[in-house]
Amino acid sequence: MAAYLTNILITLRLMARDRMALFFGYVFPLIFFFLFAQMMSAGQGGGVAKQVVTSVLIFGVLGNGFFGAGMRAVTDREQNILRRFKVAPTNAAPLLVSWLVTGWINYLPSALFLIAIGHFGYQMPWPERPFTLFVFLSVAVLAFRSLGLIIASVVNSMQESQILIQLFYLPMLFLSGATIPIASMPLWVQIAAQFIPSSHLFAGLQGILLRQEDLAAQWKSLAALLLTLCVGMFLSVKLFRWEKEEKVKASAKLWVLAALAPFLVLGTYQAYTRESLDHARVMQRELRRSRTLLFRDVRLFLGDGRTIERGGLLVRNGRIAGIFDGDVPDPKSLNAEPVDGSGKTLLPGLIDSDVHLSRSGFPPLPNEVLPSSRDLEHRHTAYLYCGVTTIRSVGDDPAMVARLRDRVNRGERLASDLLFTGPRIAVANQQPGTALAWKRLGASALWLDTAHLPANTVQIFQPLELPLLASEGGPAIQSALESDASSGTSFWIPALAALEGTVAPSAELLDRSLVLQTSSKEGIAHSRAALANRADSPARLAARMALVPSASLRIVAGSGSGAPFAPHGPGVHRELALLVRAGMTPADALQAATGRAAAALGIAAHVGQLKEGLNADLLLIDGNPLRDITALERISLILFRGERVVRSDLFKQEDDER
Amino acid sequence: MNQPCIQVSGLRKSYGDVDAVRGLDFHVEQGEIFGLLGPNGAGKTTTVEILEGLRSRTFGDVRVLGIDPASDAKALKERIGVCLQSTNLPDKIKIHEAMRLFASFYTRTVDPDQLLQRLQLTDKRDAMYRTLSGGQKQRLALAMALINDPQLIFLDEPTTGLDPQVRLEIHKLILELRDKQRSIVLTTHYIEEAERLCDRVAIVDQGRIIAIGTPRELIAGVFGSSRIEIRLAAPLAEGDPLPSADGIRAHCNTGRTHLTVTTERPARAIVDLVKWIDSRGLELADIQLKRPTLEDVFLELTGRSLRD
Repeated sequence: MAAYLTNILITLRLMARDRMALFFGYVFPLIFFFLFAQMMSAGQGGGVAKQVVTSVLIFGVLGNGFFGAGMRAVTDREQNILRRFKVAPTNAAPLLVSWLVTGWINYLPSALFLIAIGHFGYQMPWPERPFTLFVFLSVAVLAFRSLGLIIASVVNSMQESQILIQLFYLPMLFLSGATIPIASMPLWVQIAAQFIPSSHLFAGLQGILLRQEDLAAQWKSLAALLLTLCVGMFLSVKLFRWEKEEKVKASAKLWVLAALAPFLVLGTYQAYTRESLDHARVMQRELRRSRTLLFRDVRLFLGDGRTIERGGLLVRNGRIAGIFDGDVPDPKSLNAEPVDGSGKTLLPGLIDSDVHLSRSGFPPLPNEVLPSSRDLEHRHTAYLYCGVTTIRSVGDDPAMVARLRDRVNRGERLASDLLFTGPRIAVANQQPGTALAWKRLGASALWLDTAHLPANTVQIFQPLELPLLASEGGPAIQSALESDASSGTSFWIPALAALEGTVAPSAELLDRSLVLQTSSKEGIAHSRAALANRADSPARLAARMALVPSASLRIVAGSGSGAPFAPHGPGVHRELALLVRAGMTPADALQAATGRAAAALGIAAHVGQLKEGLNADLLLIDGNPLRDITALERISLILFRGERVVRSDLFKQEDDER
Repeated sequence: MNQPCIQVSGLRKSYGDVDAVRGLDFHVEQGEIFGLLGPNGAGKTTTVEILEGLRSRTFGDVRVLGIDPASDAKALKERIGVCLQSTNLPDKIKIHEAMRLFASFYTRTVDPDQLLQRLQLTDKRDAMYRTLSGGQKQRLALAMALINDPQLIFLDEPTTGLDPQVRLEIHKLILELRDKQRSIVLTTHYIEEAERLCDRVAIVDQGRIIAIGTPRELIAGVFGSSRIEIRLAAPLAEGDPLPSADGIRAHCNTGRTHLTVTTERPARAIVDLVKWIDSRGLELADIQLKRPTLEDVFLELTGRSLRD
């Protein structure tokens, strides 16, 4: 043990005296840092700065690994320094370990230094998972150093080591993703890159820095790195040579491949699952989301009832970072990319609170088959295409919807945010357990078939603490409304359903458009009174709405898309047009699909308004929908979590994946 | 105490078809300086490295301090000191750091500072390795070899490439070590060094020991006779007979001023010669008794000079 410590201590001192090591360890990465920061305009946002830091950290790991310990071993051997150790009663382990550890100790401050520059110079937030980052970087440096050592062990001269090191270093550098985004390369290169350890290093670091992933999420990369470290060390000790006169056979160079074997396995696995391709796409998405944009000279519909006729809005790191009334600062001073909004209106991304993804939007065919996952993804994508950035699925299979939602949340696909209720609950006594499972999957409300459920239904489901959709009238809703126990529960009452079976085909779309939410008994009572009349015309609807005090009852847009003749995507535009025809002001109608809908769905903390800190889900409209609601169809730009949605590419995602 | 600290019998080492060592038998007593003398490539270093446990052997029996180096090299290395032919250390390592670094490998060590003092390196304690002169580097190599207070020390060409004064310093150190009852195996191709330092010498050539014994024994064994050289102030007159007596043979050069006399009893012969010169009224300019050197021995045994 003393031998290990003394070796480490003295190697450290030697390193501190080595100007080259300090230059390559500290100054060199800095040069790269500023170069990359300039190229990628890192000033634009913390996300870009993170990306730059990630890249430069990788350069550090690779340089430290390949040009550190391995080169040192070869030089010392060539200069006959190692011979002296041979006569001491030791094996190579203390020496190798000291080279490994000192490189690691040398690397950590430089990593910290880079992160600090990113933080203070480029507004990069401090890493959210410093411990994870520390562990991952440490394992990575050690693993790459052991690769360097094993190269040193199998070469016979400095020249050979230079060749072999370059042979590994350059592909690792270029295919890691740290220099060129992997997702922008041809597919075969992307697949080849999965066999290269540095691409896992890069993916891992990106995951940790940009997506706050923890060690568990990185276990495959970590395990491969650890295995490389162990195999590399083991072989280095076994193959170690003290004297340049001792030569190894050319075939010994194949041992390097043994150390890389874990990545061969990992690469094969990932080429099979395409997991890392997804990951690369995700990371590119993160990068796009971290851009800084500044809308100027634009009309702002804030989603809280107010409008700013001429102002601006700043988007940074996927969120709304500032709202300006009147004059807007110089984009350069904010490091932002300007977006001209003159003649345009910026509003929060639309919210459709009633869609049915498992239905096609056409009358059911006699022998209709279940939709494929591709159909579902296609339907889901259609909403974002139309500027609807949040939808709530009603009645669909929770597992299926959760899958769609998860892919979006992981960044693998670009589509709207997705909330869901799960299927309609028609049999009370079997359901609470199932409903609980849905809640665990993320269901945001439950849909009760109140017409057929017993009177105590609301009390049964109340402990789940989810809003309840009461689709029909019936004893359940009646008793819930009349009992004080339900005062904390909020109810959704789709208008048509509450009309107790008096459906008129001519009014279906209009009636479906009305989704009422209430949280108080008075509100429900009012709504029942209001809905006692059939809403079979805009005029009737207007009359009905006039009866409803807006304080206790909110009207929220829900298109019911998926039902016959309600295609997926533009339903909410049609809804808003109908609401306006029924007498709502365009501003009020827009509220029903933005701020008010977000409040009713319980997601007002994230979306629904133009407000600092909320997700940058934005819709830029050519014209003024506050004057003419049909202007909503003239979409100029959609931003989803800060990412510019390229509408023409949205439906290509499915093809790219297959 | 009487057990030899190195016992070698029938030692052979082959590298493929090449036989580097072709059957060595020798032993080294405790407290003696044993020299392995031979030209480059004679197999000295191979032999020593086998004894040090750095190399395996092909055949033969080897015991060093009672240990078979092939089976327990680590235990052996703990107890021996080795000074390689050329030691090199990182340029920027400080002297005391080098001592500390190598001390860390041993379970038993002596105080490095004392050692540095003994080797007159105390004032260089904080100097970097690259600033040392050749002699200082060699002294450091010796200090490092002594860090574990070894009973047996291998010195492989310890003075090669050093200037004469440094060489003398090193010789002094080696003799001091012997005074402390350390056994030393010294390989060298400096014949004077072996003659001066070694209690016994084995002359190695082409993987074999061709002669072994004290330097004196070797010389006597090979030549058995000494040479007396006489220089006269004035030439010996033409026709004057050369001295003749039992057991001496005399020649003179063409100028008749130098006489060379070969004898097996040099002490007696000198007395006779001086008397002979005196009786002839000649004036003696110089008289020298020349003993053959190991160099001569080597030349005589192998037909080649040591330093080709």
